[in-house]
Amino acid sequence: MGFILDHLSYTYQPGTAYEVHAIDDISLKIDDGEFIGLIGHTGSGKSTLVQHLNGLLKATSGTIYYNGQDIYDKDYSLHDLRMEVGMVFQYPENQLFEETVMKDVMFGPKNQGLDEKEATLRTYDALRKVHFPEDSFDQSPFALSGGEQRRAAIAGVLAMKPNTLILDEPTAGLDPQGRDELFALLRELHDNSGITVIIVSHSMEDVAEYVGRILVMNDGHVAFDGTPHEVFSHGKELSELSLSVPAVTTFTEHLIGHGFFHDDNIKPAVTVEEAEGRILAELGRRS
Amino acid sequence: MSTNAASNFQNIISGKQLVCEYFRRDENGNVESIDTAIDHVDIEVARGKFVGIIGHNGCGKSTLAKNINALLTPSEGVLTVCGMDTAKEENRLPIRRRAGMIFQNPDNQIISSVVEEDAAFGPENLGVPTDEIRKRVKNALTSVGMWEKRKASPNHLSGGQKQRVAIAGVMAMEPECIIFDEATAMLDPEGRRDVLSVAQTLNRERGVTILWITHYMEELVEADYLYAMDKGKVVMQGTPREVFADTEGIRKHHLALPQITLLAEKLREDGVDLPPAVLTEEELLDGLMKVR
Repeated sequence: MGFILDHLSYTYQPGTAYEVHAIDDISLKIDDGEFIGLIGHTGSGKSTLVQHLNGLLKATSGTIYYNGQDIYDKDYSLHDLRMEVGMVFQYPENQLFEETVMKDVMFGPKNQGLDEKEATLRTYDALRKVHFPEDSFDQSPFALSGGEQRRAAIAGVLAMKPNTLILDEPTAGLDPQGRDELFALLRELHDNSGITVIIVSHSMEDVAEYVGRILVMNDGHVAFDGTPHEVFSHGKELSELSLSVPAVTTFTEHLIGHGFFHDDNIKPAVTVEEAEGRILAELGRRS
Repeated sequence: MSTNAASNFQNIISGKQLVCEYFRRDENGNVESIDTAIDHVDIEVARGKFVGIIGHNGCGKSTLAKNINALLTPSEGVLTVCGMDTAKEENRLPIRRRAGMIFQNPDNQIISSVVEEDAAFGPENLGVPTDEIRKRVKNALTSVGMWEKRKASPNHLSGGQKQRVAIAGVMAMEPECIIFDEATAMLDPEGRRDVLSVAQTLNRERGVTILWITHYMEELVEADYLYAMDKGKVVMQGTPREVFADTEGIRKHHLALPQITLLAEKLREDGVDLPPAVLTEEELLDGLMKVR
C-alpha cells in the first residue's frame, strides 16, 4: 500500500495578506518500499509536503490515504500514524537531550509504551543499524562528532520501527565522507528492512546516485516526477527552477553534443560510474 | 623568519606555528581533557587572493576561521591579520572590522526586519556618519545584487538571498578580507551558485581577500590556493590542481574530488590517456575528444 495524496493543498495564514499556497492541489502515490528524493529550491513546499505525511500539518483541502485509510477521518489515530512514519528533521542532533546516547535513543520507544526490556532491545538494534560504535553507547551525545550525533538522532527515530522514514536534508553540513556514509546507510536500511525512505535534499549528485524516484517541487506543485534519468534530462527547466543537474550529466550532454558517441540515442549519465562506463564503452568500441 | 610590519602586511593573514586547544573542565573547574583543535599550523594568505580551506568535520577548519576573526586566540604561535596580532586585546575590534565573517546558518546572522537596515548595522556600530552609511549600504547591496530588495523583510528571502544580505552587511564595513565558514552548506543549488559568484566578484573586482571554507570541492576549482586540514594539521596545500592531483592524499584525509575531476581520475585508472587533475569540463572534453 503506501500513501495516496488526493488533491492536497495547504495554505499558510489563509484569509490574511500573508496568505501563501505552500502546497497547491498535489495528487500522487507513494508505494511501500520506494526510495524517493524530494528536491526543490528554498520555499518550494518540500518541507510543508513531508510534514503532511505524518500528520504534523493538516491539509487545508484534499486528503491523504495511508494504507488505504483516510488519515483525516475522525476515528483515525494520528498517534499510530506517527509511530509508522518516522520523521528526521534538519539538524536532528539539535534535538539530542539525554545524558547518554542509549537513553536518548530509548526515549522514543519508551514513549510508545514499550516496557524497559523491549525498549532496550530496540535501542540496541537501532544503534547497530546505524553502525554506531558500541563503546560509545553510554557516552554523552554531546561528546560525539557531528556525523555520530546525526546517526544517534536517526537511531532515535529508527528505534520506533517506522515503516516510512522521512529525512529533511539529512546530509546538510556533513563532510563528503559523512555524506557518502549516511546515504549508504539509508540505502542499506531501505534494502534490508524494506522501509520506504523519503529524502529532502539539495544535493543533486547524491540524489542521482541513490534514489529510484525523484519528485521536483516548485511553487507548491510537483514539477517533475520520475527516475533520475527522466528528471535530469530536463536540465534547462530545472535550472529555471533554481535547481541543477549533476555535473556529470551536463558534461555527458556536452560530449553527446560534440559527437563523441557514435550511438545517436545515447542518454546523458547521472552518476560518475555511469559516465565512466559509457565513455569506456565508446573508446573500447574504436580500439 | 624575521618580519617587520611592512613585509608582514603583504599577507592579509599570516600564522606561524599556531596551536589552539580546547580545555574541557568538570563542574569543579578541573581540567578533564585537552583537545588540540589546531596543531602547529602555518598559514599565509596574500592580499587579494581567493584561498580555500577543506577538511572533514572536526578537522579544525572552523577553529582556524574563528582565530582569524579573533573570536578565539591561539594558545601558541603568532597570528597576524592585516598586520595586527590577534592576541592583543586592543587589536580585536579593528581586526573584526577588516576581516568579516559569514557563517553557515543564514537565519542566525540577520538582525533587522528590513534588508537595508540590516546592511547598515555594521557601519552604524562603527560610528560612520549617516551620509557615508547610505553610500556604503547602496554600494554593498548593489555589489551582492540585493539593492532591489532593500525595503524587503529578510524573512521573505531565500537562504541564498539572506546570505547575500549578510555579505552586504560585512561589505558595508569595507573589510579587506571576508571569511566564509561553510556559507553555502544550507543553500539550494541556485543559492550556492549565487553566494559563490558574489564572493568571486568581490574578490576579482574589488580586491577583497576571500577565505572560503567548504565541503563542496567544486566550489574551489577556481581558487588561487588550497589548504587541506586533518586532525588540526595542514596536511596538503597548493593550487587546486596540485591538491586534487594528489588522489592518494585526498583519499587518506577523507576528502573528495569535484565530480568532473573524479570522472577523469577514474578514466585515467582505466587506462585512458588523460592529464592528471583535470579541473574543468572543457579540459575533460578536450582530452576525451583527443583520445577518441
